[in-house]
Amino acid sequence: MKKSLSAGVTPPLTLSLSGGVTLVELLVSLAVLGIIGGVNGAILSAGLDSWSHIQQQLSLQQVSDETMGMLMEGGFDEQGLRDAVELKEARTEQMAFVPLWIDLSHKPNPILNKGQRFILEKQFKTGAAIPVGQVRLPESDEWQTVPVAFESSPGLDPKHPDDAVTFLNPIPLGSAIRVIYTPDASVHPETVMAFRFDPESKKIFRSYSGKTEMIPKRLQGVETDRLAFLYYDNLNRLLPSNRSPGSSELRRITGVKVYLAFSKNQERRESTSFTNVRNVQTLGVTISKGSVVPISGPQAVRAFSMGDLSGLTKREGTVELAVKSQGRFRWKIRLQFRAGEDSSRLVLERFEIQAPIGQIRTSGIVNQPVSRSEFVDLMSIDRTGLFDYDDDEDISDTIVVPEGPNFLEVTECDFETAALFIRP
Amino acid sequence: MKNGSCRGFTFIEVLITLFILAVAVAPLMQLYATAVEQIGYTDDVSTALDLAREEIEKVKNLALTERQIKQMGNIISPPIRLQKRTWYTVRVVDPDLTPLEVQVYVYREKLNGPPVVQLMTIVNK
Repeated sequence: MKKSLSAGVTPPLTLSLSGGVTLVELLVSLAVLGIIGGVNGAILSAGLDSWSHIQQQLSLQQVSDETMGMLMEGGFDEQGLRDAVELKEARTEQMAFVPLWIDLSHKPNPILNKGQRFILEKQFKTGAAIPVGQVRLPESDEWQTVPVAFESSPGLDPKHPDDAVTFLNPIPLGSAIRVIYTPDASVHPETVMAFRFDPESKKIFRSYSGKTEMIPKRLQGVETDRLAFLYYDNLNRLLPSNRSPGSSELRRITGVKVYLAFSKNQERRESTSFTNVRNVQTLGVTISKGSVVPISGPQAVRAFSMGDLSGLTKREGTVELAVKSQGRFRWKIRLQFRAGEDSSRLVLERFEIQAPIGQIRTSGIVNQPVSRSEFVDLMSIDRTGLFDYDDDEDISDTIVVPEGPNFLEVTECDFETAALFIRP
Repeated sequence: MKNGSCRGFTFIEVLITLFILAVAVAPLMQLYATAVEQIGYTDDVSTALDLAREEIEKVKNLALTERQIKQMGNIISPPIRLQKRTWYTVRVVDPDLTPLEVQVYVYREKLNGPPVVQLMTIVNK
């Protein structure tokens, strides 16, 4: 662009104090302004977009973590799924369980209650682990476990609980105390904690101790898209969750997976968490037809029993366990049961051991009554000790299964569920 | 550029100015991109940690002895879709160690490559 002051033919591209700006200068300035404005706009827009994205992600993360924490761990002085001692209901969008009860109702009084004996607020569940007493010293945030003596009474009147604990060591003046124990939910239904997702309102509710509240309390514009509970047995097998399990199904559950999905505007966040509900852990591995459990060779097995049989729909039922090694079945035991006169009992009628499969090595009529929770010792069922799945010191066992990756398969099981206890 | 009140900017000067502006603005754009990427990474680590913890809880849920868990060997869980990504969880047991050490690796999108997180637990049962 050439500058010409004299001719005036080419419009001068100059800032002139006398003659104002030419049209071309104005157009060029506007174009430059447009470019700069466009760039600025793009920067601002990108900044706003990323700020909004970050804000949404943070809100989603915060709400998701808080909700998962409340479901799993509870909150301050509150219990969560990890503290379950008994499962009551297990559905996809709702579950109910009994957590340990934290009894904070007692005030130590060295004058009026010299014996430091306190009546428990709720009826204690018979057979549960004994209550734990805790003391919080003045100006301390921590609870310390202290020795207590427990007295259980047979009274089941919720209005007049009569189970009691006595704190054995002197409680320092000004201290707070609490007692943690398993409540009897059949006497105190308010001790059942329930989580429920309402797909209509897209909200999660927690019911406990007579109160129902939404969790989390502040949603920060975040919408709950989904809450789902998935249930597992103690071999990590997914249990059917599209129906409400009966009591035998509930007993199989030892693991719960929680799936949560939240959204805010265009952003979505999904999270999962799994918890082993330790306090409801049953003895042994839960089995049903088709279960496969790793097992050592007979030389290394020191305990091998089966029990906790439930869900027999017929008058008679069979359980067949076969040990597979190097691709071949090597040993099999077949047990035949029939229902006892009392519905809580069964009768083990007969057993049969095959080794290898197809060759019956021993069998016998047992006719032994067993309660459904009782375990039958599979290592002593063959009185001779020759064909059972162990290596007796003083007997020349005839069962030889090579050491290596051996697996026990449940080839037949007429019971809905049973438990196997195997220890090397 | 000559200094004078009667002269305007040449076209070259305008272009250079725009170029400088572009150079100055690029790091800003990069900053926003990095911030978004960083949030995405934090989100990924958080998801991977949840999955690793989940796997460790699953090991605890197994009513099996150390020996039985060793016998089950290393396990690759089926891939799971979360936060629009595919995740793989791998459980590795060391058969020679007592008590048993279980390592959990969580991978994003593919199994070959560095894991997003790695956790370890000791199994004693």
